[in-house]
Amino acid sequence: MRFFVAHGLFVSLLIASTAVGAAPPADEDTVIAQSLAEMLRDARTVVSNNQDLINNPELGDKHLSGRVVLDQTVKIYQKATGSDPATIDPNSRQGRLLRAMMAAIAAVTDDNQATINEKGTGFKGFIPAVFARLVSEDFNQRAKGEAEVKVTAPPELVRNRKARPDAWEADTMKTKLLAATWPKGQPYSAVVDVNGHPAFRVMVPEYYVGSCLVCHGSPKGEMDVTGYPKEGGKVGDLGAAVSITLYH
Amino acid sequence: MTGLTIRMRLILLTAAGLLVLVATNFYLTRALGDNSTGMVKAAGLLAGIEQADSAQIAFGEMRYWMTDLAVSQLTLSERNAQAAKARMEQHLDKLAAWNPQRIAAVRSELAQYDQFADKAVDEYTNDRRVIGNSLLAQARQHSLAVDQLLASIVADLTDEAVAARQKAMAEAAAATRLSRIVVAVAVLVGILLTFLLLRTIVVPLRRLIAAMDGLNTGNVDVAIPKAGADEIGAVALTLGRFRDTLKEQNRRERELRAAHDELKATQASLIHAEKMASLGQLTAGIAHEIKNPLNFVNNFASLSVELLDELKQTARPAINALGADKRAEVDEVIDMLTGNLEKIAEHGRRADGIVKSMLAHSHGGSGERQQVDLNALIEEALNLAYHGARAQDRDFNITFERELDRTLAPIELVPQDVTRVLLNLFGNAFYAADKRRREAAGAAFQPVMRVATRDLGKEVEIRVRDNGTGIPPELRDKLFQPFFTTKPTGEGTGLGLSISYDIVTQQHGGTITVDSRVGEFTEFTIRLPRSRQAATAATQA
Repeated sequence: MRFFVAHGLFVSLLIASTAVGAAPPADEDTVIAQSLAEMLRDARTVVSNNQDLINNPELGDKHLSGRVVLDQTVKIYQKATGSDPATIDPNSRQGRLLRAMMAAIAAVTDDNQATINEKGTGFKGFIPAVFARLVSEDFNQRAKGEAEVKVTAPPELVRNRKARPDAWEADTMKTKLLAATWPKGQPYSAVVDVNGHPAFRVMVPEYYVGSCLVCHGSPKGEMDVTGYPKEGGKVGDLGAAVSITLYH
Repeated sequence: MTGLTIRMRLILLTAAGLLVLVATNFYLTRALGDNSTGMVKAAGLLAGIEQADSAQIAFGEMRYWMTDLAVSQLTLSERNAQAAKARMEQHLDKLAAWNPQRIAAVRSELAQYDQFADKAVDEYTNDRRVIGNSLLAQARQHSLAVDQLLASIVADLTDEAVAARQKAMAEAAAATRLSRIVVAVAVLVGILLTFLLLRTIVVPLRRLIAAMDGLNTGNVDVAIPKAGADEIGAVALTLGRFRDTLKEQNRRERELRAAHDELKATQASLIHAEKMASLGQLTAGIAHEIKNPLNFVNNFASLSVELLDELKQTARPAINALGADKRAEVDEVIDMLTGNLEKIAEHGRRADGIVKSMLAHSHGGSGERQQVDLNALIEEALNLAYHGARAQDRDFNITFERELDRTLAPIELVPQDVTRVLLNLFGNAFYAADKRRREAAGAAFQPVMRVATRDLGKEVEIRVRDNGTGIPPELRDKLFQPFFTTKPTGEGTGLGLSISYDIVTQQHGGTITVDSRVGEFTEFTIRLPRSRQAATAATQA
């Protein structure tokens, strides 16, 4: 149970981090990127908060459908941002991309109902990180050519191959987010060329809190509950980054 | 081997043993080195097998993690696959020294597999599963090739290791077998050499001990072992010298004993001579004292006979006047007196003869020394003695054997005295031979007396031998004592040999000895010196 709690706290921390780093950007791209990141992390928080329910082997139907998860996500989003996504113009870029994110959250949840509702199995591996990756992948399909979202991390901390950073992401984390002088929680954004097209890219840092270290802490190399060796991280270390690319 | 000293023999034996030991050790060391090389080669091949096995295991892990990566997409699997590949590369590096070409082939197949597997994983990562499956199938072909290559390498390495191990074991077994044979032969040769060495020591030592035992028992003629060049030879040499010394000591002892015996004989002779001299003096004294009263006895006996004749004639008338019985009685008394007186006169003369002989004995020879033909003197004495004996006994007869040295030169002596000596010896010989003839009582016995002379240069030897009754040993020391005789009373005075002894030894400085065996013979040997000085010196002594 601590594992699931840990992931839930980790997601909460990410939300807090985002709140810290979300203050300055004022242009549209920054707002869009920030809202997408917030929505994604809020959905992840919901999954984290429901880990006990999801991993309950005695319970079949958890009544944790895509609609339920999305509703809870929106509530958290509203609380964090003070705005209701439903009020954003669906034809606007932000409205379109935010709705694509919300659709992805609902779709991934619905696609994994069999897993969530499987009776007799405790830990089902439907953890916030996996959920976030699946949502990102679904979102990327929905916003293809317009935007991409990926939860990545410094190369040595990436557990899933699909979350590996690309060159820009790796360089940004190494030279900016991991720099000793980098303000804690401040995202980094830049307009860069992606596949011959200019794109606005944002890297939002996420830091370990105490509960994250149950799986990612010390002793380094010791197996966590998923069977993966712990990374030996400490509280406050950069644990991940949400990478958002907005194509122009 | 006996030409060497014992120390050198021992040194050679020890050196031979050490040589065998060193040679065996050298051979075993070399064989062990070869075996060690073979074992090292086998161990190297086993290590190669281990490397190949490890490479196979690493490759298996690599495949597993690549497959896991394709499914889980976990970077941990990717890192594990890379680590497994690195391990495999390390094992291949170590194997490359064994057969670079075959390892290069493995590397080539491995690179192909890695390339296709990486691409497959990328395709899986990008959710292009069909392409991923296709690529993974190609990777699988190369995976099988790697497996086959490594398996063939393991098989070949195993064959080589087994061959190397069997070769090393065979060489070790051969070395062990040869070593055992060498040790056995060395032991046998060592025992043989030790036996021979001991024999070269023990056999001469036993001979030495036998020689020493012989010398200890006084046998100086015992054989001394031949002196070799070794220590025992030195001992034998010393023992030989000791034996020679012992021989010399024995010779000197014999000489000393002979001298001592001669001295004792001389001493006995001197004592005897002194005794004879004392007896002679005593005899002379007694004879002188007896002669006067004896003369009176003889004279008055003769006178009494004459007086009785005169009385008989004077008293004849008166006697005739007596009756027949009385006259016969008187005549008988007168005849008895006359007979008694004649007996007295007869025995008185006999006593006078004895006294004269005693005086002659005591006074020694009175004749002059002159050059005499001894053989002629002997013939004369022999003739006298024979006829004298025939005169006394007509039945007496004896055979003479003469071995007279006809080249004998005349010798200076007193002929009357020497004749007396010869007559005594011949008379005794006649008596003994005739006695034996009589004792033989008609048996076929022929009395024989042999007389021999011989010129000894400075001396002349006379031998008188008869085949009579012989003289018992216990009587020989008394033969030359005065008044000693074995003849019946009245037949000998016991002075003949005593006088002869004095004549030969005292008067002529010679020697007279007797040899006899009872019932066989008696032989007297007289040696007379030719020179007057010797005779005089002997007489004075």
